[in-house]
Amino acid sequence: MIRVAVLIAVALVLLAGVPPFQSCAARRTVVVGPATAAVYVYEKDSGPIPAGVTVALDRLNRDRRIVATLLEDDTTDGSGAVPDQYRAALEAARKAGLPAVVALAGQTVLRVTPKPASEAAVMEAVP
Amino acid sequence: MKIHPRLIDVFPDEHDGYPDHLAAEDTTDALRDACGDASRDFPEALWIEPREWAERAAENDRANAWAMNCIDRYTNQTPTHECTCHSLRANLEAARNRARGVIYRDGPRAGYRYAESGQYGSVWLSPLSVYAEANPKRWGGANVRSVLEIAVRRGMLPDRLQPAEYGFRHAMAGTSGRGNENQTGDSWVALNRFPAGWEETARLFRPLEVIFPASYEQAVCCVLHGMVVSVGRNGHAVPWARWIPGQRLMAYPDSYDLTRYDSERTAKSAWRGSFAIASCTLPDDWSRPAAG
Repeated sequence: MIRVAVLIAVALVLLAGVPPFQSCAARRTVVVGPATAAVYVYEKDSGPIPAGVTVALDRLNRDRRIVATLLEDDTTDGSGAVPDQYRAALEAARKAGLPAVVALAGQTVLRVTPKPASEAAVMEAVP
Repeated sequence: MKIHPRLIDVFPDEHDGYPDHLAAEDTTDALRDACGDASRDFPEALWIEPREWAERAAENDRANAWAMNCIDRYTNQTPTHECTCHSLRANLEAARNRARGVIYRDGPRAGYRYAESGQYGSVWLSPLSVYAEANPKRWGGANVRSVLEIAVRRGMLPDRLQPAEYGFRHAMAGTSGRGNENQTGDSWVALNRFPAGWEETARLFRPLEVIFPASYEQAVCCVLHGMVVSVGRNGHAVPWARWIPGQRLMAYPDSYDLTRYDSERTAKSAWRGSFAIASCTLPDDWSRPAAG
């Protein structure tokens, strides 16, 4: 009886395509969709924005149709608070060190890439 | 790229928007005081050796990384004296569009509206919304110190005309001059006739960090890094938005529906009292710029 139950469980897991020992957290990561936004977070006193970054953001906006933007570290909205759309990105980028590109799906951080200096590096940073 | 000489160092007699007595008040110290906490020194990390300027300019040309590529429209102030405020709006709009990450490949074009302006949340600001406070008498111009202080303190209102329907609760004419297909031209509006509660909307469009170049070379570096540098010279204020190495010219979208150029000689006489907006307030959601 127990053997049958184990076999059924293993069969179900294989059919679902989920490794049997993957954690819940890992499975959540799998189901998150592609990036909906990308933010290049920088501090203007620390150095220039490479021209390639500008090109990459334009390409992401036009070709990938995601919201790809720049954010200076000290930026606020009209009320003096960090703009809602940038809260998660700013926190993640600060942890990684500026400048950094943060790829997001909604407000979920997918990937943080420190110091991308070229168009190709930014494009690769956004899954 | 050969520039026609008639577009270089143009100082028409009717330019009275930045007369000498007002320009004399625009020392760097006075501008810093006017901006308060928003004042910034030129960051050392942005310095580019002059021998490398041409190389950086070529890179910007290839990438369309100039501030000129963040400006999606001309304005037309004819025949008013609002020039310092039209220069300010180019500076602030460019800073905001740069943050949005979209390139307007040809920069401003007369008689043309980019579809991208509406798609990517470009907001057209009203120079008149600042000028009406800077000079309530309407004629005679305003100094940079006044218009910067006003913009940093309470922001600029949007033009009634926008590239998309954003639903601003407060907006007004862009200019009391002619305007154009991308800017509302209408009657003069005194500050006490602004729409009730206008401050709620104006605060959404403020400079946050303003760099004051301490030399001509620092001003060029700001332009090479994709910022607009606003200057006043010979009675007229303009926003430098691109540097052209061969002829060593500064290109600017003049507030008369066309691009003009300052020679290096003029530029070297004009950098004092210049400023570059490095960052500005941004929305909580780019698709809803009226919401804060």
